[in-house]
Amino acid sequence: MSEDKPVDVRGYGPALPLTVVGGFLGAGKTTLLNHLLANANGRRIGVVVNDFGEINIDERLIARRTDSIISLTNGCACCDFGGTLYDSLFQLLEAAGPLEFIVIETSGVADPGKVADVGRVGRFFRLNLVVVVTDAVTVREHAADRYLHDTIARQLTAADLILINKTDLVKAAELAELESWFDAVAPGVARIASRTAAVPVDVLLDAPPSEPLVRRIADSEQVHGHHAGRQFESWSFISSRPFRTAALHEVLARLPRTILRAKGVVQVDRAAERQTILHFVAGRWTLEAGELWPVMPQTELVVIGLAGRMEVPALEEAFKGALLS
Amino acid sequence: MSETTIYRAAKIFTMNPHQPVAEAVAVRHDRIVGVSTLGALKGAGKVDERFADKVLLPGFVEGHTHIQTGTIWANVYVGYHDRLAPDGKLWAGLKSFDEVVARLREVAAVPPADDRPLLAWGFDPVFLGERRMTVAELDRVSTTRPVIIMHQTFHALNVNSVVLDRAGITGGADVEGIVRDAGGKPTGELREVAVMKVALQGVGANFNTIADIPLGIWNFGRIANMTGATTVTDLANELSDAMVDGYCAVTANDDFPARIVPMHVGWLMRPSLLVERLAHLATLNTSKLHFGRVKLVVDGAFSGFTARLKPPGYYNGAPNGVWNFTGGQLRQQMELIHECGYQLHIHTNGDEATDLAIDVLREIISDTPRADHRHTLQHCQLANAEQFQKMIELGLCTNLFSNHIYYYGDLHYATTLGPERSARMNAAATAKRLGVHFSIHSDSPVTPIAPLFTAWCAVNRLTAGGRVLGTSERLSVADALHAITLGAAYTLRLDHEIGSIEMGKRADFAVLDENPYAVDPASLKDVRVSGTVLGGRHFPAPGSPP
Repeated sequence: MSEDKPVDVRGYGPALPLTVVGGFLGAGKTTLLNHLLANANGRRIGVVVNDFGEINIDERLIARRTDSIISLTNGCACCDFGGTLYDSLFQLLEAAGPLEFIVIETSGVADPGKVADVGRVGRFFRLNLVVVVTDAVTVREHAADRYLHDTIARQLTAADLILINKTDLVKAAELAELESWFDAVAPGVARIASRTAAVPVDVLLDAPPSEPLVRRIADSEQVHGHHAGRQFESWSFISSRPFRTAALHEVLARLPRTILRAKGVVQVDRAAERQTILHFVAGRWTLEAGELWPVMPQTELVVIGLAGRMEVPALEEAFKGALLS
Repeated sequence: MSETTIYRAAKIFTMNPHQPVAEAVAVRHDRIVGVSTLGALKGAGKVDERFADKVLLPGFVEGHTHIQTGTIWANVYVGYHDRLAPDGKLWAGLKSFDEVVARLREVAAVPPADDRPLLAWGFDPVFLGERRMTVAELDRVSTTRPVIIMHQTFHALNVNSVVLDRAGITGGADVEGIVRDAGGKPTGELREVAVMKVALQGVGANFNTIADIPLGIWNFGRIANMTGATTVTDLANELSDAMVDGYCAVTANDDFPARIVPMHVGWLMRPSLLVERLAHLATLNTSKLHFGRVKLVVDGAFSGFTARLKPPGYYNGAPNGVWNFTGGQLRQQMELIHECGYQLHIHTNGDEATDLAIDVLREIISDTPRADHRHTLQHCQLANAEQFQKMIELGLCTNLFSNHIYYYGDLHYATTLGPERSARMNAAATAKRLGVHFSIHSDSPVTPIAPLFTAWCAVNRLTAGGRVLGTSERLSVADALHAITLGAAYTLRLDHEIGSIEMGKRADFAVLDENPYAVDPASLKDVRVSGTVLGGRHFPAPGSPP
C-alpha cells in the first residue's frame, strides 16, 4: 500500500522512519534491540519499549551510546487514557537533538500492526518495517494456546519480516516443519532464521541508499547466515532512460513480499528534470522529489530481498518494461 | 467531649438487618452513636430537625469511578444526555449536530480568541441517527482553531480540518482507524488509539493531562456529593507524587465532601517496588483517603471491540479483542501484591478475560491461601453462573457495570453481543442468587456517576432505546440499594467503617427527598438527592435549599 507522503508538511520536520519490533514474550525482541543498539554505528535511535516488569535492555549499551534514547512505558489497550506508549513516542520527538530512527518494541501480546499505524498516519513517523520475532522452539505451542492463539496469529500476519529465532535449538527436520507451518499461518510473509536475533541493522533501519548498504548486508551474512547460508541478496538496476511514473508504481505494487527493500535515485517522466528518491520497504513506498540532476540523469536502484528468493530475470523484465520507450 | 446531635428523619434505611428502618440517628463527631426511634435516643444529645422531611440512606459508595470524573470538565461537554457539572450547573444534552456546533461556537466566541485547541467530550453519535459527523460540521466552529471532540466511549474522536491538516492525516493511508467518505477522504472521525494520538499530537492536545490536580479532585468530590455518594474510587491512577500530594491535601480539608479510594495501577512498576510504594502510601491513609489497592487491566472494552470474548466472539463477527497481559505476566504482577496483603481490582470486561483472571487467581490463591482478600473482578460484564460459582469458591467479589445496559445496551443487542448475551450481561440477579459479594457501578466518566441511576439500571434493565434486556437478571430495589452501599463497601474492604447506618460506623448518609423503596421502581433514578452527610457534617448539594 502506498502513501505519497510529502517530505515536509507545512514546515514541519520530515517524518522519522519507524521500525516496529513485535513478537511474543521471550522470543528475542530485546535481544534484537540490544543487537541493534550495539551496531548502531553512531546513528541516533529513539527506542520505546512497551512492556512491564523487568526490562532487559543492556544498560551498558545505553551508557555507552548516549546518542540513542530509550524510553520505557506501558499502556493498556482499553481506551485513550491508556495510550501511554504513544505519549512516550511523541516525547522522544521533543528530545534534545534530532533522532534519525525510531524503534518501538511492543508488548508481548500487542498487535504490532495496530501499533505500526502511528507510522502509517500523520506527519510524525514513516513506517519502515514491522519485524516479528518468534521463538523456533515455542511458537507453535503458543499459537495453540487457548488464550493466545489469535494473538500470535495476528502478530505473524502483521509482519513484513518474520524472524525465526533460536534456530540452533531445533533440529533441521523440525525447522523444515516449522517453515511449512509458517507458510500456512502467515503465507507470503518474508522470513529469515537466526540464532540470536542478529538481523543486519540496515534491514531493520532505513539506511541511505548507497553502495555500503549492500556491502554491509553482504558482510553481515557471514556472521548471521545460518542454515540458509546467505540471508539477503541484492540486485541493482541502472538506466539512463526515465520511468513512466504510473508504470513504476505498478511494478512496485507487484513486487513479491520476499523483496524487503528497494532504494535509489530514479528518473520519472512526470518530473524528469530532477531526481526522484525511491524508498520501498515491504510493500510500502514513496517517490519524493529530490535535487536537480547534477549531470546526466541516471536511474540507480538497489533491490534487496531474501537470498535465493529473488527472481532476477522477472525483476529485470518488470523494471525495464516500466521505462519510457 | 464533643456534642452529640440526633438527626430525626422522615425515614432512615440502615442496611442493618437487625434494624432495617429507624427514625433518628445520633452522631458524635464523625461517628454514629445510636440508631433508633427518637424516643429511645432522647437525652443522648440535641435534636436536629433539618432532615425531618428527608429520607436517609447510608452514603452511597461508588466502587468504580475515575478522577477524570472531575478533570474532564476542563473540556466542553457536548453529550446527548443532560449532565451535571461540578458547579451544579446542568448541561443540557445536545440532540443534533447543529446543537453541538452551536455550543462549540458559543465557547469559541468567548475571548480571548486564540488558536489553542478547543477540546470537547461526551459526544455520543449512537443517539444522533445514522449520519456521522464530519469536518463539515466542525469547520463551522472554526477554520483556524483546532477543534477536537472526544466521543463518550473514549474510543473515537471527531476533528475539524485544521487538525487533519496539522497532523498530516490524509486519505492516503490505508488504516482502519480513519473513517473515509465515498471519495476516500478522511471525514474527520478517527478511531483506534494510534490514530487518535497522532491527531492530538498534531495540535499539541492531550486529554490525559491534568492541568490542575487539586481542582480536579475538588470537582470529583463535588460531583460525588450531588449524587449522594460519600465514598468514591479512583480506579487506576499512576499516583505520581503530585497526585498523592493533591489527594492528601484536598481530602484533609474539612470542606471536601468525599472519601476517596485511589487504586494504584499495577503494571508500571516491578512488583517488589510496587509493594514498597504501597507500604509507604498506607502511612498516608486517613479516614477520608484509602490507599492500598492495586488495579490491573486484562482486556479492553466492548464498544472498542477490544474486550476478549469466549467463542463465538463478537456478534457482528469482528475479530476478538486484545489482551494487555498474558496469564503468566498477570501472575507475576499479582502474586507478591496478594502475598503482602493488598487487594487486587482486576478489569475483565469480556468473559474470556474473566476466565483468565479466575485461572490466574486460582493459582495464586492456591499457592498462598489468604483469608478475606476480597480481590474483585471489575466490570465482569458477561460473567455467568459458572464463573460466579468459581469466584465464590475463590473468595472473589465482583463489581458489575450496570450502567452499560442503559447507555450501550442497544449497541450490544444489535452489534457487539447479540440478543442472548446482552439479555444476561451484568447478571446481577444471578450474582445475588448465588451469593457473590457484588456491587454495581458507572465507570464515570465513561458513563455519568449517579448511584441511584446505576441502581435503576440494575432494577429495570432498560436501554436508552427503550428495550428491556433480560428481565430475569433484574434486581429488586432493595438489593440494588444494598449493592450501592454495603455491597460496594464490602468490595473495598471498608464495610467495617461505611456502607450501613449502625453504631460505630462513620456518619455518612445520602440525604434524599423521597423514599426510594416506595417510589415506582421505574422512577428510582428520579429520586432527588438533596445532599450528603460525611463524617457527621452536612454537605447540601449545590442548588438545594440549606
